[in-house]
Amino acid sequence: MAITEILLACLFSFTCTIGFGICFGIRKEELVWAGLAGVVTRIVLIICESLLFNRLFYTMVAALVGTLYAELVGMHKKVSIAKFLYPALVLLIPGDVLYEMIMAMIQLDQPAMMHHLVILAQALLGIALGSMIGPMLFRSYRREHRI
Amino acid sequence: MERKELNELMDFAVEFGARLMTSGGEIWRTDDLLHLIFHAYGIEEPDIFMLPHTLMISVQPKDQEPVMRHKTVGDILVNMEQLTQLNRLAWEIRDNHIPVSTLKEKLHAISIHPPYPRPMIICGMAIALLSLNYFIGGGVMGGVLVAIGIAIAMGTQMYMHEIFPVNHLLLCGISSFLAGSVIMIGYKTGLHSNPYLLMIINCIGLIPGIPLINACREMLNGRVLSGGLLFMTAFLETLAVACGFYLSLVIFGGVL
Repeated sequence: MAITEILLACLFSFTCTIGFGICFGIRKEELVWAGLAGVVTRIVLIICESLLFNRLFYTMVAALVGTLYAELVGMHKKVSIAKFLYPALVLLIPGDVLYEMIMAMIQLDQPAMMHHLVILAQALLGIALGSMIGPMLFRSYRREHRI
Repeated sequence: MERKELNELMDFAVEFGARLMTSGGEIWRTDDLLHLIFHAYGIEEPDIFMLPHTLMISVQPKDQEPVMRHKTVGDILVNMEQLTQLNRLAWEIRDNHIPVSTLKEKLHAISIHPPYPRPMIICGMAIALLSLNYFIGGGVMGGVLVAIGIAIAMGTQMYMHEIFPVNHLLLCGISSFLAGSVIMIGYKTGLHSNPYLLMIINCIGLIPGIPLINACREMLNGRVLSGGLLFMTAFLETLAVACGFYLSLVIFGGVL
């Protein structure tokens, strides 16, 4: 992947996450931090996709790094981590796969449906696992600082 | 704690929990914060039962009749600002032992409205999907069609419910049908050659992605019932969205 492509991917991840951040009701002052969450997740995803070929693993690593970013920013700004966690994870959600799976279901195309179901399960499991490990590491700190 | 005070606390707790859940708070978070509030007033073991649209709290004070509250929780509309303020209020209660009589006032001081007006939220989603359009390769005209489609779909979801209340799943289907129709009209008039791709991009904006992740997290945390119900809700909503797009493909001469 060329540098220009990576930079464009980062730029569009940033704008995409800011767009979702507005929909999630994140205040103006925190939108940039939320946008950066998307950039971090996207960069990790690009790197991991080329190193790890299993969707479960590369999604999990990207979600884990996104969650750690959300934890660190949440601690720094003393706000709930959910504010940065959702924007970090939103780019990983396999909406296209879910849609294709249901379309295959509507058209009674069972092999295609099963194929997409497996990919969907891998991606969702990866995101869920990645986003659960981060908060475990910082739980006691957050309790101490009431965030 | 006196009976009157306990009743006030229960009223507050059930409203607090419902608002937290409707603003996108996960079930584990709601459970955690409600325990925090009850502990602040010396109630060590409240019984809290939660499902995606139900909240039940029961407390058994010493030598008194048990007190119970139940609330039906409305549709989830992710509002991080409200969620953060509710989170902060719970910790404030825990640290400062606020008098029970002032709790409702403090809760009502937190706005239920998102920090942005509805047109701005629609613009936000359009920006997000235009950016996704770059990743998927929909092109410039594709981006325009996606933006118009999502604006119509979200506008329908936001305003139609107030003018003419309909079933939520039906509303999902109608809005995705309208978005799909915009894309199909663009395809028929030669503005774009791949309607299927544009529908996928629009679908990403309409499916309940965050509840889907929360469903998996709940199940992995051992809350299989609430996680399963969340998953089913998300699945049905996505099915309704896909059916809407499919209908537009069939009506406008289809590519399937």
